Amino acid sequence: MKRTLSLAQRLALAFLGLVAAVLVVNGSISMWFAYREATEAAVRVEQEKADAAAERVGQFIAELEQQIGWTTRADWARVPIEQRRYDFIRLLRQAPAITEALFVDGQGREQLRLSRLEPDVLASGADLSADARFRGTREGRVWYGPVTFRRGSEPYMALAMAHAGRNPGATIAEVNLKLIWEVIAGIRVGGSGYAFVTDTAGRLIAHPDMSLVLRETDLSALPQVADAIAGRDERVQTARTLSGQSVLSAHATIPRLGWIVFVEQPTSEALAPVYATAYQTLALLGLGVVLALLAGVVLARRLTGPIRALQAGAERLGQGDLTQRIEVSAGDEIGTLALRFNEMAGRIQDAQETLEAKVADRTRELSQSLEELRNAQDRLLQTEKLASLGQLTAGIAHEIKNPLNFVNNFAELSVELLAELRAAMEQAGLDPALRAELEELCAMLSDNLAKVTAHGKRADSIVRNMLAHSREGGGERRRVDVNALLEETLGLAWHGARAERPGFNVTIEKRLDANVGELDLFPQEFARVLLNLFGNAFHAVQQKHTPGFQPHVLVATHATPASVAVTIRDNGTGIPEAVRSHIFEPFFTTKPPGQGTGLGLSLSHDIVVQQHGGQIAVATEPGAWTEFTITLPRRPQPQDRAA
Amino acid sequence: MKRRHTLLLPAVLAAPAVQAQTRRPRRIGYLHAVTIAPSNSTLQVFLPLWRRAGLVEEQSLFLRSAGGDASRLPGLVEEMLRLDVSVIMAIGAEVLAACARAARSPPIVAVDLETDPVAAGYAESLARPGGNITGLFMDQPSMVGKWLDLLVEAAPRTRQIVFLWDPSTGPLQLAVAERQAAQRGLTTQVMNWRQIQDFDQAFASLDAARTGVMCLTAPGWSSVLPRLGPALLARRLPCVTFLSSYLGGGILLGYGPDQAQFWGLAMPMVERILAGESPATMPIERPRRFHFAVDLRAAATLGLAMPHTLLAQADEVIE
Repeated sequence: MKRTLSLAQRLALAFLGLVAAVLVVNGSISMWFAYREATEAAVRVEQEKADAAAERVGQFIAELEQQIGWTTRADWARVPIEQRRYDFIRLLRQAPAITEALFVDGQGREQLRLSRLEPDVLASGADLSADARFRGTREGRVWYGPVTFRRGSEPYMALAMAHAGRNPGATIAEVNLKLIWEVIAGIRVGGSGYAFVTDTAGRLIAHPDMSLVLRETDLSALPQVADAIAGRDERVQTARTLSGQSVLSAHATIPRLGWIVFVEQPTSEALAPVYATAYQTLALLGLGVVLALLAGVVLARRLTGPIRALQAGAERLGQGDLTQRIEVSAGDEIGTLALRFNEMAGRIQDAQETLEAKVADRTRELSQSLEELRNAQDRLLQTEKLASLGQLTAGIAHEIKNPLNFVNNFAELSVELLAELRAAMEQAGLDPALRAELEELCAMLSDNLAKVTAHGKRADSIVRNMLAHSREGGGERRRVDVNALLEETLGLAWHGARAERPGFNVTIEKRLDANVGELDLFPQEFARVLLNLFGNAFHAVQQKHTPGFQPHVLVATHATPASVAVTIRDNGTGIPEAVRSHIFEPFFTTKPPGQGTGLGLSLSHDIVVQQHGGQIAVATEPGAWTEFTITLPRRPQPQDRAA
Repeated sequence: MKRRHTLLLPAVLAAPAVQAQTRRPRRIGYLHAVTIAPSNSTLQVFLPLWRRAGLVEEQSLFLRSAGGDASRLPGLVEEMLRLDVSVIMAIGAEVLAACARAARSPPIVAVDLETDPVAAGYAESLARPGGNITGLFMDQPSMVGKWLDLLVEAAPRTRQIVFLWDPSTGPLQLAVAERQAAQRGLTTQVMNWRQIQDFDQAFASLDAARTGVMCLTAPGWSSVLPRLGPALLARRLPCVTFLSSYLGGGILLGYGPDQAQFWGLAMPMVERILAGESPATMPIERPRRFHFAVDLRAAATLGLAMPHTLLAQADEVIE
């Protein structure tokens, strides 16, 4: 996978690259110039040193010449021998390098010889006319002999100088070249550089290491020496010493003698300034790169930090965190961008919040509507069911009513007939035993007929109740003070309950809203509903036998502009869940047989819902409380259904 | 650049090609035929050099003297071998001969003013000795002629020369000296100074006015000076010797190699041998500079007037 560099890295790299490029170019150029300069300087210095060394060696010889020159005056040939010897003594005294001094007259005869090692020889007359040293002076005034190595070790050179005047003699000096060592060893070339001298053939004459000279070392094989002998122009070159060390070598030729003075310095030392410059440049380059790196990183951080913050903010915003705001203090474009971003985030947040509120509102409204719809549907279903049940009940009652009338009427008639029978029997004068038996039978019949009558009446009552379902607006409809009706009905119910069960006691709490006022009601019907509900409440609290139980019934009214609510709450046994959905069905009762018809709540539902256009609702907590609430509209809705 | 050197240096030392250049242990033997007293003129030169080189006596520097008894020399050479010295500084022909005779020997740096090392077979050539002996040699018996001339020039009445000679130095110089003296019509007498206890007595029979004394070169000369100088002055004898450093106690003239400069060449040789260089390729050094000193106080005591030609030659005049 190709790795993409972050903006910060790219910025830092770009900055680093730019600075490094500038530094490298600058450093290379300055290094190149410095290298050239230092090399040229080193070469110059080497040349100057070679010149100076050649000068000093030349001066060494020149001084010898000058000393010898004292003996070459034109009149010297005429001075007494003792004077000449004295002059030679002085010569040897002044020039320690001269080991031997000879005076040869114009004919080539040795007239005087002084040596540091030999006894003085005066006027030996030895014939030196064929001697190279003497012959040399015939051609030029000063003759330099070749370098010879005495006993193969000590470098010597003859220096012959013709005297002035006619038919001149010559002074010949044997020069011990070992003493040039003192000159050479005194030449310092840098820290470890040195100078050495070779003759025209490349043989070493003087070197700081005398043993090399004494070994008669031939250096003509060294390229720098060979070049110098060949007279190449290049006076400075890098070369190697006998031991193989790399050196910067310069040479200069001593005029007249033809000797070559070399000055050599280890390359590393001669080029030390070059290296120093190089190291300096490299160090600066390194420092520059490090600084550039740091600066690049810092700059990139400064630049990309806000961008990162923007990016992070956008990411969090994208993940839904609308509270996210980007803190950018920069006043530049990025700062402006961040500002805009924040504004945008704010707007999105606002929009989102509004939207959410709207959705919540709508959802609430919808669920409310749904709830209402569901309630309405439930009620409708219930109403439909109860209505059809009521019609059925009324139908049944109507059919039963006629036969029941027959039963009742004929039972009453039979009682009257029985009374006539009893009167007839008294008149018939029957046997007392038979009469007693008949009397007993009549009594039994009378009892049975009384029971038939009683139960017939009860059946009649049931039938009448059933018929009430189909009755439309029994009694008149008028304005009724609801609170007053409540008080009255409650009193009736209370006394009824007391009559039924003398020990009965209950705390009744009334919270009647004075604003309820009057409503357009069927007072008899509505009173019946209330009696029913009170009866139920009293029954419920009687059923509860929890220790320390205080029976309590709350009666409350509550007025709103559009409706009136009547609440009857008891803290009795409550209604089990399984029972609750059936309580408004006809003939459904939890009371033992004979104690309730199962028609009370069914009838109440009919009266409230169908006659008054209200609602009846139940809320309960089994074992704790039951609350019936009747809501009646202020303006009775038009009756669209017949019962 | 120094770093480059230090980096290169171990590599160079480790290179097999320069294995021969292994350093030798820093142990030096110094063997003298007569004396290792600190007052000895040779030691006067060497002691500061050794001190500067960090050598410690009996640890890295072993000074041994035969006390003038040549028979002890082989034993001392053996001792040097036992001490396992890396180089022997042999002072004088006798010591050098003893070292050379030994069955084996470490490299030798000789200080010998009498022997010709090539002629004696110690070295193949001055430039490349080829053996284990190198060092400082003078081997110029012709110097004797110089001394004779100087002596006669200082004391023109001289007709007889007394040679103070050490037989251990060999007969070469004496032979040349006698020949040179004969050439100049001088009579000669030879005295073995090693056997002379009382120089005054030894000189008693001499005709002081016509006699000059000449010291032939020998190691350990400085030991004789305290006895010789007063005797010379007492007997008014002019004396020439081979080292100007011997002057000041009664000897009139001194001509010879510049001792401090010449002797000083020995220590660099020793150091190079210790550094691993072979003596076989180390050229023998001969004197570069000569030094001539005249003791005018001695001259005054002797009643001699120094001619200006003599004084003109003098590098040093003791007044």
